[in-house]
Amino acid sequence: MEKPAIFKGSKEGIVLVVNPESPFNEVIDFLNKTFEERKLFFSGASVILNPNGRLIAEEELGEMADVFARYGLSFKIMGEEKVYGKEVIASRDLNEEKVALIPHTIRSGQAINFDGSIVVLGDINEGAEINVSKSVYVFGIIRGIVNAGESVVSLGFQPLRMTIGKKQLGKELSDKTYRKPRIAKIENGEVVFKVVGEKQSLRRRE
Amino acid sequence: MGRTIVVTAGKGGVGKTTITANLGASLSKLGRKVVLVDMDIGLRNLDVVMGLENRIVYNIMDIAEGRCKINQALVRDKRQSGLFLLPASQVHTKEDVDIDSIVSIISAIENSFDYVLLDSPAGIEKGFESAVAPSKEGLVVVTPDVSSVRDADRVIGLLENRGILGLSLVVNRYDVDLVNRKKMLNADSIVEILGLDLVGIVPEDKAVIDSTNRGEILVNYYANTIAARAFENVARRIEGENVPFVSLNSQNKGFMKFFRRGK
Repeated sequence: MEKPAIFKGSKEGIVLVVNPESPFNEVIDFLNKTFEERKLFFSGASVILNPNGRLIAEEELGEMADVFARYGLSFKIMGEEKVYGKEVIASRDLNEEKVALIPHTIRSGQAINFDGSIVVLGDINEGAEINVSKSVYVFGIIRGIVNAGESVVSLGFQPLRMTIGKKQLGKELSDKTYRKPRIAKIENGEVVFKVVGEKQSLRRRE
Repeated sequence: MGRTIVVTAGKGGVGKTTITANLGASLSKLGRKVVLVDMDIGLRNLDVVMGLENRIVYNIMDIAEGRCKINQALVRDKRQSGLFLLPASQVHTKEDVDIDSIVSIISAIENSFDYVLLDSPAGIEKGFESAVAPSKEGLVVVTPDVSSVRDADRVIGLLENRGILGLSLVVNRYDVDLVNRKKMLNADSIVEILGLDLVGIVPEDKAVIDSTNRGEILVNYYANTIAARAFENVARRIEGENVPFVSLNSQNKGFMKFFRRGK
């Protein structure tokens, strides 16, 4: 092996194999050069470091982490969990979350049934019915019937009937008319309508 | 090629036929060549509203079933030479209609007119289907009450499902007095619920009933009434002209002024 290190593709991601013979500063130079030249290729990638028998000192690890962080990258040591370099926000497995987009108002007589969450760009009019297992996000006003498993977020509430989880709201909704964005969810077994983004310490209005 | 517009509402009695007749006559006054197609097979009315019932020889079902040519069935209006009626059959029912042949009749007519207005029957059954099938645009008529708004919402959903996205809204039988006393839905909230482009607000006007019973189209017979002016504004907006809404901008003052001037 002549180069101080090489990148290899693998099933787990990009593996950085370090040459155990090369001086450490050459490894750093190699990383700087490679990242600079191939910014796009590495962008957002998570790298696995294979020390290849080399003992890497804590100091050296820190130095490598700085190089990675400078390019918005991070790495793990093979077989370990700790992430070095740029902090990555724990990403959720998006494959497991099903979200459907409905790019229009849902009108009277239309029904949407979906196992997952939906985003509606428009209103949910009176006479329309929504049944989803997770959440409903409405960029408009709810006037119809909404049954959601977890929560309902909307720019306005004027619903006829609403179920969140197992809690059904009927005629008591008549005083739950809102013209501002709210999130309706279950808290302590009751449906609460919270102002979106409201901090807990803020005084409640309405 | 002309514009093919279905005039529809869902609910009955909101003024689909009246609006079809008056919009057609107004467009014709603006120099357009217009044909009004009565799609209410078995319950035709457009001929009576236009006062042409005794001039009908053939109807759309005769064309569909091959008893006559399209030109033989068209009835020219008694006042306007650029306005025609294609009457419905009174002896058939909506179930007798073959939608494909209606579509081919309308697409043949489209070439020789600027506007083809289809007067849809109430309901969302086959009569509605056959009025919608040949149409490329829709004019949804709504009156300021909750049942009409809900039916209109349903109809708009059906039209959108069929790919008719050029939809506009007319609010008919609008009673400013009732709206001001908060006894009637105002036009703003109707537009907000239905989310369509508003092309006209037609005030409730007793002259409509009078002219209908005389077999005359309002815009020709009582051209100076408020409703007739509103119909003409609808026509101009459909033509693409930017006619400001006197009524909407200053709900109280503007509309009342508008009212007094009319009387």
